[in-house]
Amino acid sequence: MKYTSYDLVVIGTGFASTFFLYKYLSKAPTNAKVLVLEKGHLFPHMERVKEKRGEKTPYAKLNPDAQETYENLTPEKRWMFTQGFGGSSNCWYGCTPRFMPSDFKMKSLYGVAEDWPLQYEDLDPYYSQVEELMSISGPELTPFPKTSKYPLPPHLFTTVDKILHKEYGHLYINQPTARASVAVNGRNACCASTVCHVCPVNAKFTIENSNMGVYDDPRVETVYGAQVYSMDLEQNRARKANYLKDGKEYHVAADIFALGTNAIFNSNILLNSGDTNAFTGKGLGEQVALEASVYLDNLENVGGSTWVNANGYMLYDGEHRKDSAACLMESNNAPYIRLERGKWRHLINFRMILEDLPEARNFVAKTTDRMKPAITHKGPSEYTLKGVEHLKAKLPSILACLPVEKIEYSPLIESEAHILGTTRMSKTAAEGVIDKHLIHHQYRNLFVLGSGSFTTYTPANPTLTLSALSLHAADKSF
Amino acid sequence: MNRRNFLRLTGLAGAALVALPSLGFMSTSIKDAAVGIITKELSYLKLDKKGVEQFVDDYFKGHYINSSLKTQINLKSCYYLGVDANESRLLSKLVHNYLTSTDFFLNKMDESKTVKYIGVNKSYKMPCSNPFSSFYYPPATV
Repeated sequence: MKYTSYDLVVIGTGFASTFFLYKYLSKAPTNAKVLVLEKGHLFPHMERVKEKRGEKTPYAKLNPDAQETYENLTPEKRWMFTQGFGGSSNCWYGCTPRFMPSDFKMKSLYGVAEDWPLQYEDLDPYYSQVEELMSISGPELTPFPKTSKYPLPPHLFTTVDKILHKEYGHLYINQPTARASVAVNGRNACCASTVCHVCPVNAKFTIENSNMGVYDDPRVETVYGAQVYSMDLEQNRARKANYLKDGKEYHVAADIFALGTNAIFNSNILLNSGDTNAFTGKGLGEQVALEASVYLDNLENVGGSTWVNANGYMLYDGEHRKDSAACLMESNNAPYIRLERGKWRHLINFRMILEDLPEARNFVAKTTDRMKPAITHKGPSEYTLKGVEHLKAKLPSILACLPVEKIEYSPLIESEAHILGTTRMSKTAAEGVIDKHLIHHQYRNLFVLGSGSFTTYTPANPTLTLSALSLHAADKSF
Repeated sequence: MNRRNFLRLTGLAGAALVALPSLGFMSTSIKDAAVGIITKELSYLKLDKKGVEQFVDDYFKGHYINSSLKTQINLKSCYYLGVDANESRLLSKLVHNYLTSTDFFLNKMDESKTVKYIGVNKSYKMPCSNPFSSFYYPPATV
């Protein structure tokens, strides 16, 4: 650390921090002083691939296993993320649908939970910017309004996707994705290896391959191995960030702070700092999913060019949302088979992803170990479970255009690898922790970034939106 | 596996526990059982025997079966009783994983060719080898 005080201190190097910094740096003066505190270390992509091939790499032990970093009081559900430089960009699967306009107004449209303090139209230009920076592949027609074109052409449908697209048009589309459809910006084209957590051909967008220049900017100093555990919050301002590095305590002052770890650790840092907002740490959640295996009569499901080829919106919006959760369908193109001679691929698997709502019984709490928060998650809401029943009742008729032999459903899947809602966004401090610019309602020089900000938990994947929220926050604030 | 099959299998496994020791049940290794299950299930294919054995070695590395006596007994019982792979999740996963770790689908399911094992981490040894993708089924052909 070169200085004792900075213009901006950012904590974490994942999507939320990186997109926030990107916009901040585009507006900051040339002499701005920025400190980035990263808890982990860089584990380069090629070294990750080596590890997956069974080869040894000295990088493998630099970052702790995510499951060792928190105390799980309800271990039947684990929370999936990656520690180290670039955060969960190293393990995400690159699905980037936008939210629907309705997702931002659950209360006013459906009488459920709360409306977000900003709307789809506010985010639209920032969605476009993120799509450009990530080189997203996507279709012309989408169920959400879109004024810009996707930078890359869409991935290819499978034979079954083609039939569903013909039937449902803009409600069944090539999935918008950060798995490149053609080589771009130093990345290869995705070739449907379907092990996207570590892409064998470096096709998905990560912070490491982003070429956004954020961490090479001369105004930015990055300290690795810096574990932030609290902040000094005084007189309604954040004064210092406190961290451990190599067993030694450090304290750094700044005019502005941005917490950009994840929804578990952002809230732990706030709780350790004495934040008394009633919603800090509360409402931890994510989507709930199950697999629908659809057995087909003499129809081979082949030809897709990526892992998830398509998204189906037929069970997403509608009157049912007053009572039961929206569902987003993902057409999965992993090399699964049906164990029947001659019918190997007469099968399509859909991942059926349901939204959830923040529940007070699901929360992050601090412990005597300031680095290790405790998590309690007692399950999804009734609203979501009703959504499961709704989708099972409706799916057969939705798939009537296919020669369906039978549909088998898996049990609920343990995790969608998203962490949402512990510092939720709201109009006032009476309903949440931060405002629409991701600024803490009480500490007005403290940004709390990432998907912890989500007011409700739409079925769409969160990364595109949390990145757009970071751009929006920095653009409107500096 | 549905409840009926589960009860059936549990019952058979219990009966097998009593009856099968005399048939060499206890001396059969889980590797032999797994190889036998794959070979029987795919008897209509020409399998590379060494490849099947190598797959089983790789597949069971770090597998929970190594520390679960119950699962070991389950696997051996299924083998001795000739249970169909689609009747058991353990078996179907085993056969499914074997077949998708081979070149069978890359060869467009040609049953006249010997099926060769590539590797359980095939995606990293041979990226772009999803046999159902557009690289093997180009748009003009489907």
